[in-house]
Amino acid sequence: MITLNHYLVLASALFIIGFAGVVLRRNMLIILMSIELMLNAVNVSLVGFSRIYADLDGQVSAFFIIVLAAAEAAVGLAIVVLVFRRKGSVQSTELRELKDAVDAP
Amino acid sequence: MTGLEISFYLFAAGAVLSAIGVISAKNPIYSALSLVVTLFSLAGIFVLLRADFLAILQIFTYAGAILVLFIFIIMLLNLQPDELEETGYGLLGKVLLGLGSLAVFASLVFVVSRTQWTAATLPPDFGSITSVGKRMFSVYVVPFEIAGLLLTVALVGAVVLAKRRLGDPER
Repeated sequence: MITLNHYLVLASALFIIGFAGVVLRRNMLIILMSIELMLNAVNVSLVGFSRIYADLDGQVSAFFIIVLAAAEAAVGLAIVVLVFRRKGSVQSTELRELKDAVDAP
Repeated sequence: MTGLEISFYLFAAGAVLSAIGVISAKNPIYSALSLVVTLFSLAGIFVLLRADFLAILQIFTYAGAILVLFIFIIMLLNLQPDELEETGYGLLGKVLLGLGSLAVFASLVFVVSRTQWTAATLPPDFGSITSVGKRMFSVYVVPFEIAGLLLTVALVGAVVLAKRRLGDPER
């Protein structure tokens, strides 16, 4: 018998995997994909609750999250292209202009 | 095991394993291909949850549009193997962060397993394009229009950010 708890555990697992990707990886492309994973995990739990309560609001919210993910991917990838042009690298560790403010007057 | 259980465990295992592949692959192109498997498995999960329209949308938008965008950018950047070397945490930091993530996961599972939900009975057209569309264009019509505006803004923003200015190779 598959209950809502199964779907919520799946959503938690996907969210945590995405979170681990964001904190462990340094490649900005993979960080963006991990964010997509987290958004998808939220979608699973929204659709699961929509199924349990027989209410379509959860599915409509999941639709809006998909729209948001598309916008986020477009702008995020444009920023990755810009960073690559400036730095010649897609590692997030290259972006440290604001670090070491000790030298500032 | 019923067919529902078999398909749930199949899709769930596919989603979780390929999600692990997304964050552990060294080359982003393998990450993107693993992400395709995750998204298709989640589309199957959506079908099991009676969200047929959302499952189709998941395949169209995620696997069809967003992933193609990712793969285009990866091929456009044409990263060389030495540019993929990551200077991140040491082994100790990785182990600590992994254990921390596992602790958060364990607490989430604990919270989820403490509660029981009873499923409501569903109308026969639950999750169809007609029912979701009616809800979207009545109750949620203003957020729907704002979502269209958001997409337009993101489109213009992406073009303005990524285009090269004439006579300025740095930008």
